[in-house]
Amino acid sequence: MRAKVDQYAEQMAETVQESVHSASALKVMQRIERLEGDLHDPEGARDAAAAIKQNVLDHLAEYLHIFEQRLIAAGARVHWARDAAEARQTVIDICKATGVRSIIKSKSMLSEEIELNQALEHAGYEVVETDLGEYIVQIDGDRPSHIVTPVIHKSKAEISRLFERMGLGPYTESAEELTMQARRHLREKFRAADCGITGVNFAVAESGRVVICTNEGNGRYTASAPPVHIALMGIEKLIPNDQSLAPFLKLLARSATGQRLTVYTQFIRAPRATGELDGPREMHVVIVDNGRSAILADPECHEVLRCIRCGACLNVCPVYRQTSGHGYFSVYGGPIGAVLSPLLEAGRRQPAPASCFAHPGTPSARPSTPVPDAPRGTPVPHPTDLIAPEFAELPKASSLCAACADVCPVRIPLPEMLLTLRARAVRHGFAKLSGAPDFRPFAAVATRPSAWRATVAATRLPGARIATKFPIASLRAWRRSRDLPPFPKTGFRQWWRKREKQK
Amino acid sequence: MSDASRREIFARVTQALGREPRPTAPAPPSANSVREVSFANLPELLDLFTVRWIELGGEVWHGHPAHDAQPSPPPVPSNSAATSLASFLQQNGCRTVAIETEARALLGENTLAGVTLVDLCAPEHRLRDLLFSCDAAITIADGAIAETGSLIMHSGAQRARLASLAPPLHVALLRRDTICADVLDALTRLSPATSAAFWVTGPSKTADIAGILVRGIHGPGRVAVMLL
Amino acid sequence: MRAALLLTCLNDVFFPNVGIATVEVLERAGCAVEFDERQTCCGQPAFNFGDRASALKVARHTLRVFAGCENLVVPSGSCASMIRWGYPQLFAGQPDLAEAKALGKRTYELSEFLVLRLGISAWFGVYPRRVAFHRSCHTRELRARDCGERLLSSLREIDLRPVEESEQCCGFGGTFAATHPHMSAAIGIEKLRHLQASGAEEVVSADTGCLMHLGGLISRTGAPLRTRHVAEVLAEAAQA
Repeated sequence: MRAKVDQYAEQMAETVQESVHSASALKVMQRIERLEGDLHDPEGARDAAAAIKQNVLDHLAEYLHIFEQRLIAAGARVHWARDAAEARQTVIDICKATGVRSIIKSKSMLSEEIELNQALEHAGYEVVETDLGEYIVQIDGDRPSHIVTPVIHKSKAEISRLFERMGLGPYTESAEELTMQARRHLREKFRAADCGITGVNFAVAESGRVVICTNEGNGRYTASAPPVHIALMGIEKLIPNDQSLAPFLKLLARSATGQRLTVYTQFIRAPRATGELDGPREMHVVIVDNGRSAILADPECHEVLRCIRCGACLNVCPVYRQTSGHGYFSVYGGPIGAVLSPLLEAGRRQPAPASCFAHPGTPSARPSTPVPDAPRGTPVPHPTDLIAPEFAELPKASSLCAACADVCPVRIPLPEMLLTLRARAVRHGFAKLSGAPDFRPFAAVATRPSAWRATVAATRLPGARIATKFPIASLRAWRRSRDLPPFPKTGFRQWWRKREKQK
Repeated sequence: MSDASRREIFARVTQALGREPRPTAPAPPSANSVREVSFANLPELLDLFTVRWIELGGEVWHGHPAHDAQPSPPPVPSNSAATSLASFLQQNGCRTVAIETEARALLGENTLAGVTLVDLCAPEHRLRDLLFSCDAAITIADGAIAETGSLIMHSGAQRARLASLAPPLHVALLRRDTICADVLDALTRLSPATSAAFWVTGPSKTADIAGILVRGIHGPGRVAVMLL
Repeated sequence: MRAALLLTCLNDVFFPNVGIATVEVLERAGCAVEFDERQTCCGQPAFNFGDRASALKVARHTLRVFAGCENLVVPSGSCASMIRWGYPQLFAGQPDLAEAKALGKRTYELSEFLVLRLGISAWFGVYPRRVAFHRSCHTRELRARDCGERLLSSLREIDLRPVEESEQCCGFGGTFAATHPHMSAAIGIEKLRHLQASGAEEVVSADTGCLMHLGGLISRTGAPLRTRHVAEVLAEAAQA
């Protein structure tokens, strides 16, 4: 089968590709300027962020427990959801219990992951995305193409025509006017909504705070204006205490867009206190698993749960630039998506992980438990072998350039994980892509020096050139847009032998 | 449902980690205590904050002519500062200006010519009518961060979270001695009891439409600080 | 100083001159070069693809061939990276893991070997050409980050051109080139655009895979560029 990501890239409009490319390149530059220009020790901040996130994962049960207690003591309600269906139902139940009719939402990747909007609309609620890019995606029935900048693939003209159709205002090519059209329209929604649903960037265990980082202001409205606030978070969003936020707040905005901080950083602990003139009467935090605990048990891939969704890996990835987020056919795209999507999907189906003992507190990957009787030369099977067949292709959509690892603020070893997932795909026989050679015959030749030398010598023969015209899939793939180099008349080995003889 | 879900999630996490949860809180690793701003003297912090705030598109005045004359200047702004605030508001077409009780008290005897000041009020629908229709709002900032050019605000009695959000223009009254050095510093000052705190780092903005930066998408497009 | 040469499978088949130039460069630097005829491939293509069983077989063979070498020198960043960084992953849980790690410790990409092991900071001779250096992605994993550039910039009369977005991949990626041919080529063409815009006449790299890929695109599109391996440049300069 032809790789879906490659097919998508091929048919993607050049204008879209150009805007994705230039926006990405700009953000790459801004990130470097901001990190190296500002911070005294950017690498130290990354080390600290990675170590803190690893500590959180290694003690996740403890931190979840502390966080829950603090929230409850402060007057917030805590809900737990094992999977997407339960998360959706929990939100609907909260809305039912509080008599909600209209809902505003601010940016939440998790809400997209659990397909919340469709469920809410189906249950009869009005749901409005208020982040400008997400709002545009919503009214156009489209999907976001980037974790941080969702409509990087749309032009001003397209957006204006869309607004015109929706009755927001007359056609205009001014980004400023278009923005004001959206502001006027959404302002009314902020004013009147019964319920606001936000995501969570960081959940601070010790102080019981939900931290939300945004630029537009809709995140503040969503958490402050309606009488009910629902904050959705994955189990892995925890941070130990307020102080430990420091490296994350240093790195998040700088990694994402080259800003020092996002315009608004909210620290929310509780619903409206006595004497306060506004603020939600009820605060609900919905803590969602949906496959994450299965990844937690994965000795080779659990570090992916450190991700803080900054998007830096997308910005620097050469493959992302060719496909935008849509090309990954998943909520999560780019390098992080190529690892997270096959793992999360498999984790959802396999929620009770096989027993796997870790050494808590170690900053590096958990040791995999070796199978004691494995004969020499057999690869050791891993206790968890998470990979979903429908996303098994994604880790192959990478040139393994490792630029993502260079920029990840929490040092997720993405290239290693891509290789691990490729190995799992091969073991399971998933995602057999056309163009990929079979390496068993290669191994047979490459372990026998005389066979190898004979094969190499055969390429010196006059007929060798013709052999490359045979319909060998990988050769054909090469030749689509590249020439193959000529086979030289004599090889290195002949030169060496001659030289040795002369001595 | 939530109880059963909670139990199962904890069971899954426990199984994943291969051990039972411990009763004591874990000790997290060091939070990278590298200070980005190592000086602590107020005049320098003030200068840095001002530079950063202006870079972001914010505006700033001094409530007093000589900013380092006294160690602890009286917080009430001078007459001329109040006058310039008033003319700033007028120039920006701000007729109706919402004002927080504490901010009103801080302005002291000063009046703002040409501007109608309206106190934040209850009940909520009236408050909302005010904040969604007024031209500007004046509130207290509880602090600021020099490193990033951020204002620190807490929710509190007689305060409204939407006051610094809904109007198109926001003026914050900021005491100089509440400016802290950097993010690390600011985090130590996060009140354990406040229901909501927010840091505001410049005017609201977006570049979602074709990558073009536009201010004032949802939050205020103009933000100003008067230093006291 | 003894240097055992790992020719690499690509050079074995397509680019004997890179192997020859490497020998000349190493000898010029004062090394005694060894070439073990039993060598085949480091196993990276299979590892990259995900066939760890096959990769392990091939890698084990390589381990045996070079068991006694003092230094293993490779004119390829990706093969050196495979041995140093990939083998610990590949051999994880295997009885010969320690041996694999030990080989990694004495494996060097060519320019890394010259600069970091032999302490050579300036190379000999003239090279009066306009050159753009393509720093292949595998140098990220090695200590080799700027060794190639350092050596090239030390050549007299060389005009080393800076390249826009130089950290971006060329699009080769091993099996990626075959499984995702459209993107592989598109990324390469983007890279060629930047290389051409630098005003260079030659693209020089320490990685045969990158050169083969870029060279194949240059040939198909007729771009006014030549590809050369850093070993060939150093060998030619030293003779001049």
